[in-house]
Amino acid sequence: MTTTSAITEPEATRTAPTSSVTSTILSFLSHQYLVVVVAVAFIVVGLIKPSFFGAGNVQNILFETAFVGIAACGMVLLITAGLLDLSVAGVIAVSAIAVGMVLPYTNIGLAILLAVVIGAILGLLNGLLVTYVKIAPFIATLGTLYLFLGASFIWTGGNVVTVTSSNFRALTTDSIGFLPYPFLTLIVLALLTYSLLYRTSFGRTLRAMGSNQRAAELAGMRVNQSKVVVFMVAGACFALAGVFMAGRLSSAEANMATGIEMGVIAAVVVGGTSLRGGRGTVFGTVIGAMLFAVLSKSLNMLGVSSYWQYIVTGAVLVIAVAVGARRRSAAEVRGAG
Amino acid sequence: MTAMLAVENIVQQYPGVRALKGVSLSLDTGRVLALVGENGAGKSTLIRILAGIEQPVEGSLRLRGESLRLTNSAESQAAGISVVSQEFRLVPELSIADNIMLGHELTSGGVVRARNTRNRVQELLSTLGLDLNPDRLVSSLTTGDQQMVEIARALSRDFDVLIMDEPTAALNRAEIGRLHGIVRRLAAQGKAIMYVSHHLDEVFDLCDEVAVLRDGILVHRSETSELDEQALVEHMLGRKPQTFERAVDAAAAGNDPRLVVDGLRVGGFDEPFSLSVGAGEIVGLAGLVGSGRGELTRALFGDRAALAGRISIDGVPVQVRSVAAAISAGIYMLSEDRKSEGILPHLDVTENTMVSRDPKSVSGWRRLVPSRRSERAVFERLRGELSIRVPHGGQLIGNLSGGNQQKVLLGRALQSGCRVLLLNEPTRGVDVGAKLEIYQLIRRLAAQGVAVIVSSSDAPELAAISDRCLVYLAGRQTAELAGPDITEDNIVGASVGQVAVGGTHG
Repeated sequence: MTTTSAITEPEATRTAPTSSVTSTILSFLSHQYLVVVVAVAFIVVGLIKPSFFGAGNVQNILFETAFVGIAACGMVLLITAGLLDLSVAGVIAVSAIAVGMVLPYTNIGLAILLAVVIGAILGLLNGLLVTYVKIAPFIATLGTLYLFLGASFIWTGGNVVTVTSSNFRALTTDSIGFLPYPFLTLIVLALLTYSLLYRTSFGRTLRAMGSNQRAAELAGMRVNQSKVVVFMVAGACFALAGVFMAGRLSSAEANMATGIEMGVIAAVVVGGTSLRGGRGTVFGTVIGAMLFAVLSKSLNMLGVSSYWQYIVTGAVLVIAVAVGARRRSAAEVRGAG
Repeated sequence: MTAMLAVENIVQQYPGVRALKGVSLSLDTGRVLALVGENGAGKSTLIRILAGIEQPVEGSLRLRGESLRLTNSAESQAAGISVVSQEFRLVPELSIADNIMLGHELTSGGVVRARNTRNRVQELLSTLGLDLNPDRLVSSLTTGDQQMVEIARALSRDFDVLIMDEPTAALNRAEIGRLHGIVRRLAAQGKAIMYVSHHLDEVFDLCDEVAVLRDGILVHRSETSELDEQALVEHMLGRKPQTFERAVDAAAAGNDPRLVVDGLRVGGFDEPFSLSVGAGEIVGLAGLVGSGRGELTRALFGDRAALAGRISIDGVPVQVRSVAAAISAGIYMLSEDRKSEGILPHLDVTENTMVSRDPKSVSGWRRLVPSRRSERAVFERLRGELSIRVPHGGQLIGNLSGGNQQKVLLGRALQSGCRVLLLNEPTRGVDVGAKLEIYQLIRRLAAQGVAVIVSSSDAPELAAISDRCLVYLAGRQTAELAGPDITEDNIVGASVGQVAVGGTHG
């Protein structure tokens, strides 16, 4: 049984995924086209420019995937719950600067822990604004983005905080084989995110409130509490991305990640998660992050001018989402009614 | 005579489902055709095809004998087919007038002619007997008025064929009467009308002919006068209907009161509500829109603030400041609006039944990380007990019929371990077959000792299932009916303020 037969042969009796294993495979396959796109792009560019396959370049792509992907793991939880966070760049800046500032005085583990805690606290602020002050997530987090960025500039006086600890740089940029630590971290984090979303009561509440918040409230689910917590989890993810970026750049500064929120949201959406909430695909999100990393490195390699890179990236984003939407509407049986 | 509109051998398929299996049906001018069938029989699909929203896989449409192809709803409207859909397609942020004229605004040079629009809409509203300001926003209207606006919108266009999909679901008696008058007048003017309804009395009252769909096949078509209600239900079900007999259970009333509500004040109503429900008792709440019965259930569920008063369960006073507090006190409510306040459309039926699960029924860390195996087992048991018709527990709830969705939600209520169950319009949008099953389920729940309150606008329903029936008018209890006094006539009479014969004045 394959997904295609289920979609193209309506006469077949209702396809019944008898176990969750099959349904997991089905949802996996229905997003496989993106994997194919990424693989084809990777191979085609490699054939044109053999240096594309060089270990250094592949690692660059994996680093890039990891930074966006780690943040996107937090974002996919938010979007599934019908929420959004635009303050990614602010959270990254504050937590990365914190790491840079405390590293000379403490050990690496504590520094990273501090960064993650700071990320969670900033997420808490977002969550409280959205849940109890009842500001729309888009506006609330746009506001805190500027707040966090402003705080970072004031904290550093606009200067770059250099990360001198070679141990920290090693921990955040070394690799096993050709797989950098940040990328391995992304894999682990993605598995955790998937389990959180689909195996726990908390994840069920997130999907329920993204699907129909009013019904979730009337079912007695703790909607408000979950909103605050998911903003904190997302903030921690963003901070973790900031930790790895600080290691890679050997420095931290206020505008180190400016604009990253759009890349993060794009990765989630291209991966097949609807901005309307209710359902999220973690695997698709990772592939989405990888797509944009491969794309940007390919265009650089091929010598495409940066103006045209915008055009291509934008076109890919639009086409990928359009194709995804078409496939989903074809695969889904009609709604109630 | 050629029919005004004819569909021939229409076949429609969805992934995994054959919704229409070659249906041929014609509508004649000046006639009202009732289209009936259980949910999932293909009525909505046929309507969507006629409205141009979907294109059939096979088959053709003819309008006045000429072949017709519809690829979108604008073409359907241009061809003279006007549809009143079951689900409102109104824009809440626009005024009544703007909604009614949406898509065919009266304009000159691209500018809406506000005064003409207003007059035209005012005229339409008064033919419908609606005393509403056309400038009011649709979001400020009651559901019943929104339904009337939806109907006004369909009537505002030039049309030859009018298709009405359960237009009376949200209307009260007076409004239904007015609507029937309008439908008859339109038929007399030579329009062809298709009328979809779950209410069989409407079918016999209003329609000239009746067509029955079952599992995507047209199984019966005749003059309404050739059938009686019994025969029609048999055609719909394809079998003899099960009858539901009210258990005359005197024991229930003698039980200790499980829920006692004393002097509960709810905003908007002058008099406080007081009532008590025994364990195993089913108490019906009747009343028109504005009677306060809906507000009462919401106040008991912590979804609406109670200003004063006491609630106790099994003699223990409880505070219901929030929905969560009500649920942990053992109260559960199902809303009358399944779609926006009940189902979680992205979640499968198993998860939908588990979202309110009583934490005490699950041990320790399984509350945080539920066991999929045990949840599947619980759902399989519920599926059998509640006869929920789904192929497997992984089915998304949005794809089910209204009756099956309601059974899933009843399963959710069961899993909450509630001692008091509040049901609002438990069979709204549910077809005949599933209705009886739901009545039996409610009865069985009560037999297990749950105190059940059923708030319903369907008087025959209350007459069928309640042990006791309280009737409200504008927040005041006008009658308390018990035993043989619970009749449709007494309920309807008391809900408009007549003191019921044999009923005690509350």
